Amino acid sequence: MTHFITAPLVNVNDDTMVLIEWTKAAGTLVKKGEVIGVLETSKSSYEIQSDGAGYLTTFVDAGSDVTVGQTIGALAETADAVVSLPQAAAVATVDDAQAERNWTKKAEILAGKHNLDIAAIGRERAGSMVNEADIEAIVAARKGAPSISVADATDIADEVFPTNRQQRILLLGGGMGATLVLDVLTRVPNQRAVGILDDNPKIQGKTVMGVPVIGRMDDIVSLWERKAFDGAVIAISTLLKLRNDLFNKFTALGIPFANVIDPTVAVSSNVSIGTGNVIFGFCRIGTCTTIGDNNFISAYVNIEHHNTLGDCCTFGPGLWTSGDVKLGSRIRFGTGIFVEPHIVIGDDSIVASGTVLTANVPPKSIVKTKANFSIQPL
Amino acid sequence: MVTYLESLQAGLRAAMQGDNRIYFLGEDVLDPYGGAFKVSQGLSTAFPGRVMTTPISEAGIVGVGVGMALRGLKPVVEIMFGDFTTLTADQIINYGSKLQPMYNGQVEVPLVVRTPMGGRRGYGPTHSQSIEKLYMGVPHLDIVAPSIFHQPGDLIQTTLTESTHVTLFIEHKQLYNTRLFEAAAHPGIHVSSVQHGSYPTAVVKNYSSGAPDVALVAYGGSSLLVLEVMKRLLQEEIRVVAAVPASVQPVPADDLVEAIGAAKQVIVVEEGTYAFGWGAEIASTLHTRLWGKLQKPVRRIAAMDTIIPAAKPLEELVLPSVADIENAIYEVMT
Repeated sequence: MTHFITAPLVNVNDDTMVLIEWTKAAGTLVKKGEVIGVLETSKSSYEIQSDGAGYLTTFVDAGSDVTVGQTIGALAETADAVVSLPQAAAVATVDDAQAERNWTKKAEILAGKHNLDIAAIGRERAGSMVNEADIEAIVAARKGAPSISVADATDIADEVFPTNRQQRILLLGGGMGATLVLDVLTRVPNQRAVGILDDNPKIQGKTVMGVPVIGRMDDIVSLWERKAFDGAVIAISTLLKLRNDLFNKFTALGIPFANVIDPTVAVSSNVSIGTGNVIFGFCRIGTCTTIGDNNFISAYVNIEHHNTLGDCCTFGPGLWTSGDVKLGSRIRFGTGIFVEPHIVIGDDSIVASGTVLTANVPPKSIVKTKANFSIQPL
Repeated sequence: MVTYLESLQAGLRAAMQGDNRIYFLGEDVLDPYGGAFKVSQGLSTAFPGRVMTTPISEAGIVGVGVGMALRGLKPVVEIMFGDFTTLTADQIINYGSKLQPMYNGQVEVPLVVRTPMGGRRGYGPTHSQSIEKLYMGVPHLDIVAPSIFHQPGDLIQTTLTESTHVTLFIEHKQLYNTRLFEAAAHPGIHVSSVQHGSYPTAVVKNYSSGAPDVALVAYGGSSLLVLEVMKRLLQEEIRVVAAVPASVQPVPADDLVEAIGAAKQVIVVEEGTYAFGWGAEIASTLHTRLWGKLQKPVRRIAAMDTIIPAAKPLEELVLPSVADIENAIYEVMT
């Protein structure tokens, strides 16, 4: 390995010295400790002793000024080795901490002032630098919003009665579905809505039935880290894929979901209900029936005994199943549907309104029905 | 590209060329050595008889200087290390600075005492201090300290042309071989100047529009830290304005207030020890002038109240660092 020779600090007063001479010629085999050259400082001359062994290459001519630390020569292992002046190492002006983050300090400080999670924003915008303007844009988009701090506020009643305190529900989606869910929550004494997340910039900072829209969907991460809610529920019915994606994404991050069930729902014995389900008024779940996760079950849906319902299905009002029916996942049901006993409906299907289902439905099917009526003027 | 040292050398040469009342006194100041830090290099050759090498007797040299000044000359006395000025304190405090007011302005004492202060060169406890604060508060004594944002040669010419009383001219030994600020070498850093008194205050900004997030106030050698911090924070989008006065005493209060502008946070940086420091006087001045406008008390950064170790890493620990300033900025902003 080539050993490089640097100009030593001889006198603290001198940043530069003069290289008076090389006492060994370039190409000479030099032993460790041999004098190879002479430097002159403002006070004395100084013999450079080789601190290694090898064939000498010189980078500086006799008579030149050299600065302390400058590479002035090299010792190579072989006589024919071509040694060139090493490229100046790129000066690391960026400290490690800065290299790891993709936001400026100004963005970090601003985010802190607005209760924004800079790490989450950084992850969201991985690959680009988050700067002051980005944070200002986020803040501006939320202008007028009561801000996430509303959700962070400690509730006095919960503090005084901690054992039976209300479950704090965060709604995902601030559209029409939200009004349905919020209406149910007005009748559920052990739950209350603390906020709504929606990606629509136009509704940021507004309220739905008095509940504030406090951010975008992805803000759920920082809200959960701050334990600003106890469970989430998706208040979106028609966009089945979005409903499915949100649930899977946030569940994978360890964020808990909650069921919101209208008090008029009749749940029979030996029923199992997963999480993230919304069940509206006057539904009935028959005995020994199992309900999965993340379903949006409209009013007057009767899921009979010994049924199973998968995940992420949405229902129009008024569906009747008979006993021992198996409903798969991600099925979109219309309104006014009757299902015969022992029927199996496969995943990712659509069943149109008014169907009377007497046969099994394979996965990824659409069940249509011919409406046998006409409307004419009297 | 001109270094601090080259500017000083040129300024002294020009001053001596223009005024044959100017004499230069100090230890080892003759050619070829030209002084420990080379400030007088070439002067004894250019002005034979007007550069006087002296015995190692700081009190004696300054005493002679006071006498020469009283009798109509303009002596420049070099004290090799600022630490040794304690030996001159009697001549400066009890004698030189008092004569003009004692004689009701009938005599002039245009003496300049030049000396290098400051550390970061591994010189240890007795050759690294910034003890100019010992002289702050002495009435009728000016203290001038050029930074890399000034032209030291111009400042010493100003002193030699205008001053009628004793001036302590503080140079920072780390700056001698440092290049003076040039805009082309530091993209994004803008320097302008304000001046209500005899000496200018440099106004340094790392932004071109908008209000500053924080203001720094520093002088002399600390200007290097200020520049480094401002370059770092340029990337962090933190807008810093620095007021770097050439005049330490009197405090150029109007300059500072104008330079600080709309900044609501102020940090004062000095290389002297913290207790009873220059920063305390600046903080007091700014609290009075900017009462109700600052969001937080003026923050001070200074050396630890202890000796300066010779070991480099320990010296770095004792003296204010770029990181100290950077962290203080983040703290006052959050």
